[in-house]
Amino acid sequence: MALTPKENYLNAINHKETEWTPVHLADCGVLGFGALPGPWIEKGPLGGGYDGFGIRWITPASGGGAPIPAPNEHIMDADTIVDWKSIVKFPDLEAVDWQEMVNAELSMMPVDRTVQAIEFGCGNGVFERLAALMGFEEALMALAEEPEACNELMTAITDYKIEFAKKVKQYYNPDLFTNYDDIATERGLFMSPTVYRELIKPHHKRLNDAVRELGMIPVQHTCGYCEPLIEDIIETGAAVWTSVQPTNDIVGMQKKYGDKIILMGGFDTNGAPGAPDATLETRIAEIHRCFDEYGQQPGFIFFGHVLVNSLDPAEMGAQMMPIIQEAVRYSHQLATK
Amino acid sequence: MSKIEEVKVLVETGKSKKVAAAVQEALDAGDKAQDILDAMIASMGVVGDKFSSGEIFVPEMLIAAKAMSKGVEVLKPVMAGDVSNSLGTCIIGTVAGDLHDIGKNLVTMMIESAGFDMVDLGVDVPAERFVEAVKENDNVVLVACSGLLTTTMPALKEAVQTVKAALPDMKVLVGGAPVTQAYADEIGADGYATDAGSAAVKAKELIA
Repeated sequence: MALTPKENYLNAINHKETEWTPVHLADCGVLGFGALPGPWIEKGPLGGGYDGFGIRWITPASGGGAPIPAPNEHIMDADTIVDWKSIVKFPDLEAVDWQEMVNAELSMMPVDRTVQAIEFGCGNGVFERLAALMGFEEALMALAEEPEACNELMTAITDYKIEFAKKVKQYYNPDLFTNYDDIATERGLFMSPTVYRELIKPHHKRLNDAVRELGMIPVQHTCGYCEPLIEDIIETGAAVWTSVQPTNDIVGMQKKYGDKIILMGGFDTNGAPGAPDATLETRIAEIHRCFDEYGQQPGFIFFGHVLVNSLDPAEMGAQMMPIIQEAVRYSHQLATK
Repeated sequence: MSKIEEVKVLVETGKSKKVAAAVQEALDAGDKAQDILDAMIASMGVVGDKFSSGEIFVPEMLIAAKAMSKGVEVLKPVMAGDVSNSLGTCIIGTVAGDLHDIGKNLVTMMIESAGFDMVDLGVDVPAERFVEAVKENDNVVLVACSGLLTTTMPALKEAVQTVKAALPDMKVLVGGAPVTQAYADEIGADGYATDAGSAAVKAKELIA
């Protein structure tokens, strides 16, 4: 293999020739929100607590310690969103010790910039931030009942996120900047395509444009069935959609759009391979399926993930490492054939 | 358009700020409270079908349910004490270890809109708590358990089997992102629904 994992990974994203199908988490290290919560101002501190907006986050073991807003502690609803300017207090990004946060993350999750690409996970896209402030139901109702107020608030959130991205570039200097904004469930979009296009897509595009301007590659994260919006995601300037789950027609999308966007994911996290009692054989078979089905088409990076009911990094590692190791082994095996 | 038809349209289109006045006008015009309630329940049935078929999405379903609840507030004093219109009580909750509530809340709204009285136990509900709640409340006909995470599927199984062991005749409905009909069958649930709209339909089927 002549390419480093980083070169190979970035080649894939730039639609250039690769030597093997890249494996996320092996060929690309993760900073920010991902394995850890990232900057406390977005998802709260490690182990839970308040973010920079005054929202409390909890880290239940059932979600592997991933932060979620504390239920029923919201500061706004679908009626009061019209007063958001007096309710929502944005964090002062200049008052944050960014270098300390970077150092703390790197001490827990070291990355090797010489051989790995680096992704920064930016938690809370415009929709998720709206939901963090007011809860999912109220946020969704607000989109229908108070679209102008939602748009104003999401414009302000995007302004803030662009300033956040500048800090990320300065202190983390990643290759990829991932905007985490879940807009779909396992079986469908949260909101209609029309509402997405009118109220959310313009903010995604503006953030992605700024991210690219800063010299980072914009990545869009959403779980769930989001296939109806694939052309929109491409139009926002996202180079990658992660984490694509097989509830979508991944092969069909690759054939049609594989030269325009990278689909990262593939692993059936919500199916039998993601079940807590899944055997290693089941998971290995799923890894092979991903490479055999998606690795043969353009525009694919493997990303396998399973939820582990634990707050212990060692337990999570014990579940995740075999997936990463087998993915790397199998991808290289296929490449040498 | 009759007043009652107007209420139906307002619920279906989620005009929560206008429904209360329209319901009052229907009452003032001589429409019976039960007929107005039935009309709103029918509207929510249409909303649930449209959601299940992908014609509308979660926001539209939520604002319709919100509109119906505004209308019901006006009817409640008029119908006070009349329990004949209830389909029974449904106990609902997200299973132990799982703190996600959006799916459970959507299902709550839709089952309530179908004519059930709801007792929402919230999130992270231990299996035994479902049994206790059945015993603490009157006319319980259904237990609905939600689980969003793969890691809490074992808790969903425990909840169903605990309820069934203590109350063999109680109907149990399950749902959530990783849940399938096959899994619902495997753990002994009576019903499974893929979304909130079909949950309301399934709830009525189970108690029929």
